Amino acid sequence: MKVLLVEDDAKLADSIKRGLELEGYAVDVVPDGKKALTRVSLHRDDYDIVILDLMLPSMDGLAVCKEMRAKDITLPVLVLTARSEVESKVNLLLSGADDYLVKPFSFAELSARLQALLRRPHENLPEILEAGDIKLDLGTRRVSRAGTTIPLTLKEFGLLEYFMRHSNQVVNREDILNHLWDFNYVGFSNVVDVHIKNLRRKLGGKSGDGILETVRGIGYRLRA
Amino acid sequence: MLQKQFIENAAHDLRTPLSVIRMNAEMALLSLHEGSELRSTFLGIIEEVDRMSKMLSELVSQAAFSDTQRDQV
Repeated sequence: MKVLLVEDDAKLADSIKRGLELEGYAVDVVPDGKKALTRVSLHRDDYDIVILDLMLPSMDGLAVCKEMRAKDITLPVLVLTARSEVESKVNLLLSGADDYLVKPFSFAELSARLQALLRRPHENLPEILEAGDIKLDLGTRRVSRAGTTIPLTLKEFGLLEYFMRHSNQVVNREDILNHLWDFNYVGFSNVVDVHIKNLRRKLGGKSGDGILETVRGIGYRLRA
Repeated sequence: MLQKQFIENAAHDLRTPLSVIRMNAEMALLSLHEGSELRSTFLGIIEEVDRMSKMLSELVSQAAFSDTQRDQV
């Protein structure tokens, strides 16, 4: 899961980024409204949600939100605002924001509201994804196969979640990198392969069942 | 009118550092075990941040109110 955090206060941005990374999100911070708009227009598929501070240099947060909607970007947007007055809240919701939090907010609440926004429609509870005999519980962050719990690292969990949300689809390495690592990631491009190898090993399963298969020349696919 | 604007801006600006303090305290709480003595320290910080937050809201309403009072004179 990847978040675009549009926040110009470096300390607050850093604080939110660290907190979200502890929960397994990849976070890109863009401190400027105009630049954020460009980023989300060009890379809309990389992000699952946008957290937008209303107080921004160069372009007001509300204007960013309106522009995004005008460009048909339907990503969920959670606004961070300093204004608690009702008219202000009504205004931001009418401008296209899906939810808001008034500063100072509880990080626990931010996290819960993000999860609520990321929930697919028609679901009442934090999701449990299933593929074959693999169960992934987004609420408890637990993964099990045929009833046995499998301990996964944050990245492995994120990877498996991504595959399960795209089960039976071929996913390429670039999509995975864009979706699960922030744009500052400077590392070896085989990082994805390494994590997949570890994930395969942990998923185990009947020998050679290859539930997570390599599609040569293209990427990977989780068969369900 | 100018005073109301000034107070509003100041109050809104103060909310960002308060957010940072609150979040840092929440983060610290996460890494403390259940029985730690420091828990109440950080919970105390969070309480005071929330208190300040309420004060700021009241300040803004008060500024708006006295503004309308002045206009009526």
